[in-house]
Amino acid sequence: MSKAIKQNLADSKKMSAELFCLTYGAMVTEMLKDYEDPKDVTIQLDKMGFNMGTRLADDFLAKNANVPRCVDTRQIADVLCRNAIPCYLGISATASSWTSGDREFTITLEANPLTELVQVPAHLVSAGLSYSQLIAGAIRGALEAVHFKVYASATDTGANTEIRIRFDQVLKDSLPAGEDD
Amino acid sequence: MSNHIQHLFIINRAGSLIYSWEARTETPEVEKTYEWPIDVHLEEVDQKAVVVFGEKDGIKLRYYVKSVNGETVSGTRLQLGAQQVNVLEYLQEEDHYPVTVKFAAPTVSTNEKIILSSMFHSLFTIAVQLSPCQKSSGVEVLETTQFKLFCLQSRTGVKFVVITSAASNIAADSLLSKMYELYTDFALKNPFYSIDMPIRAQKFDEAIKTLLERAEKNNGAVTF
Repeated sequence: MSKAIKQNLADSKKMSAELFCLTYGAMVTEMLKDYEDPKDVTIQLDKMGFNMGTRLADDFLAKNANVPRCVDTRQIADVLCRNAIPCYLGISATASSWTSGDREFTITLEANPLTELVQVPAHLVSAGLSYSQLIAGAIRGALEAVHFKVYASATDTGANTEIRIRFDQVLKDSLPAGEDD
Repeated sequence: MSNHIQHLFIINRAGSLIYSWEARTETPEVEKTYEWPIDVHLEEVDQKAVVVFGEKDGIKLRYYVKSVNGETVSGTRLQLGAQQVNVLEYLQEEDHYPVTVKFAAPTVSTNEKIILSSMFHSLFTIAVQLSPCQKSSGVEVLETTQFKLFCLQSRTGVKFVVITSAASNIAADSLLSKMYELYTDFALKNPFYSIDMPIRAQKFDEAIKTLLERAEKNNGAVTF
């Protein structure tokens, strides 16, 4: 999201969802030309998302001082669905399909703005392209910035996008002083 | 208006200084002509000729020799024509008197700021470890007779430090939060900024300057 200096920095400047969708779409199609294998495009989208996520985490925390430090995956899911995703994508999200002792869960984005105007060709999907993997990468990067290691993968299904998140571990070595128990 | 905010520091997750700002203040200088023998005790400290005893006439402890008879002193080296002499030895020779010496108050060099930042990083960690209570944060406020230090550590481990005058009752929490927001806006959202590297961005400097001007007017309570 671009931002201009204005009187109230706390209010994020809104941008057109269509412009965002078109920009992302142009980027993905350009990457599909650059890489021969759609799997490679998915990997790059995840990498780009990760880099965005490590920076967005601080942006989110700077503007939401009341978000508590998460001590549970359910809490992580709650913050993502109630605060983070509505803040940056302007849509609601829900967590479901908890498995493996609450280590795995699915975040469902209803009306993903990235895919609103997009019909991904079936042969690209079957060849390994995950169109919304950037969002999954951003979640992975943001959680790593606050010292949680997770794996995330995105699947687009109709108007929805499902992001499967698997919690791996707390990154104890990088926890700042005062942030551990 | 008086300057309440004296220093700002941003320290990265590993304890390295990535940004610093300080208020513009005149560094006090004192010039005096001496007869033999000089009544100020000088020693070499950190490669400078420093006053270690004999405070008087505005010349205080830790002041260092800046020039002798109008000739600039570099460290402890005094340039005399084509020759360089040790200023401490020069002032021990009666033949050189009367002599005019200029002293200057100490300033903090960039290197010293870097060292002090990593010291504070360790001090912050020690405070957590030595806490008699569980789940303690690190140092948030540090007070002395001459200044107050306030620190905000982000969840990601970046520390924002502001140093104010002791008399200041500035709302440091608000100021530090705004500093954090400016950091996310002008450093992290710059795609050419590498995280944890020193911040060299003119837009960030300007934003900080604006923030500080508002903070001084509103006693730190910055609501844009």
